[in-house]
Amino acid sequence: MLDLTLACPQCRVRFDEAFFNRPDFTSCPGCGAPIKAEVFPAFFQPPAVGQSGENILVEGESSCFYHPQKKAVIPCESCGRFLCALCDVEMKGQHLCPACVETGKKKGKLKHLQDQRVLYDDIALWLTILPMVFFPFLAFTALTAPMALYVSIRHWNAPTSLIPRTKLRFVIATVLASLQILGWAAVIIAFTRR
Amino acid sequence: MASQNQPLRRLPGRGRKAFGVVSATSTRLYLEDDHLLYVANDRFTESYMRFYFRDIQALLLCRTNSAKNVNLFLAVVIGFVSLVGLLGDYSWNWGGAGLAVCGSITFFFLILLIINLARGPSCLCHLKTAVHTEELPSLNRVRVAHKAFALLRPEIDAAQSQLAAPEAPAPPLVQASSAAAQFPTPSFANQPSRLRKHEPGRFHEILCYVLLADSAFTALDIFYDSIWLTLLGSLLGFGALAATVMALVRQNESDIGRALRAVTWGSLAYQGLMLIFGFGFTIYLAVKHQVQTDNQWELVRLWSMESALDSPVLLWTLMFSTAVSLALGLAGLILLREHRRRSPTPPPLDTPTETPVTPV
Repeated sequence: MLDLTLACPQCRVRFDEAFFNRPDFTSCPGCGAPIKAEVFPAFFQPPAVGQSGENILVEGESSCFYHPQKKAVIPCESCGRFLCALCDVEMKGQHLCPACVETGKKKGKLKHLQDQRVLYDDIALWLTILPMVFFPFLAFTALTAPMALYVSIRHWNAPTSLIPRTKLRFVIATVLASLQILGWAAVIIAFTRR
Repeated sequence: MASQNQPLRRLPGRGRKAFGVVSATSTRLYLEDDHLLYVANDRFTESYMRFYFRDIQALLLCRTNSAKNVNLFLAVVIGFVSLVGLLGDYSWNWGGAGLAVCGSITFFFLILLIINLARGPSCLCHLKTAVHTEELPSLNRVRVAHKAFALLRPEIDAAQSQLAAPEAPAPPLVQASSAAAQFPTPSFANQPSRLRKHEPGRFHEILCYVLLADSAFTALDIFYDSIWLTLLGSLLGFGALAATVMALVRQNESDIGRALRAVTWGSLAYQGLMLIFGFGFTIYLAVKHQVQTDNQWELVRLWSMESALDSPVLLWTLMFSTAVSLALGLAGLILLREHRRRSPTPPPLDTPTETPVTPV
């Protein structure tokens, strides 16, 4: 049976349909806080039942690569392996096997499965800026400047945020790091000439 | 209506994911072709969650008092700093420099107060799918949340337009109620299930007794100048702070009533105020007596040297402290008694015993 109640975000007391889709705030039955719930048709739908795949009934029928006793219904669009209804993973119109999904996620080929990205441009920028903000740490620029330069060059073409952004951070980090390295070179030259 | 290959559209609002007192993770929401993208940025990495429009079951909004509490805190700080500035100029002849410092601090907090007021009331927003409910920290103001909902609603409606209409009829939309019943509570047939744990309130009880003891010792401190009274008062103060923190932790997600929760939060606010006052008064005493305090014992000795009957500021503060501690302690005890009377401690669970299975 479907659970047609929702929980208050504050006190977690559940409330029913009388509170759904009201134009104004209403008092939570638990904590009295003003709450508003916008409920959509998906809430009233029963959970989707997954397919487990048909067993092979006729000898000679193609079988699933992962389940030899189940009938193959579709090939994987990445590796070509035959898949049963259970193994078929449909995503954005593509039919893939679980292994290709895993590989695609790890290698970053399936952009819509990526759940984390390292922001190398921010790392490079902060490596140049942070030591300069706090004067006692200015000496650390001797270490952080080359590190920032390395990160900028090494990861110039690496995918950064999913939110489109320019290479401006890399450019600023490169320029600042170069200036810091030049500064240190000047200090060393001046020191050795004494 | 969602269109193919539409560029990312940013939803209004930016929030911080709550993690301790200071959090470096900021969150934002973006609309894509067929899903809502939740982005959490902790400066060097970004993590993403996708909520497909066809899977979104509900959007929950709950107004909170965070903005009001921040307004109250800022107003108290502004009032306190202004008072210190005026007192400093009137009683202690601070002159232009002192007034300038107090004026700058007051102005800074005034700007913060204006910004907080302009942002409007605060709220909690949750997004529910079939498998989980996720908080959306970026929608932390009612105005921003309504704007975001206005952008989200058409996308979700379009994605779910193919789904069958619900069997149960949707409840009729009710017009805004009168001012007397601003947020009416609709009646419902079944009692909602309560998921909150039972909290007996031991730390609340300790807090109330410590506040009452603090009230008594503060009242004595008005008439008797003793280093031991001052020391005991300080210890009671720290004890009250510790008990307040524990009480706040325990009352979180428990069945403690709103009034008792308010007393606990009020106690925290009062102790914060006393700490700020204590800090300011200590500096005043150090300047007045021209002493350099190297350790805590010197500070306590300095405090005990000052008689409340000779210092109007100290007298009024001690009287205020006595009154507030007494009020909070008594109110807390009464509310706690009421809470315990309404919700007795649940009986201990019976140990499971093996029942013999009768063969068929």
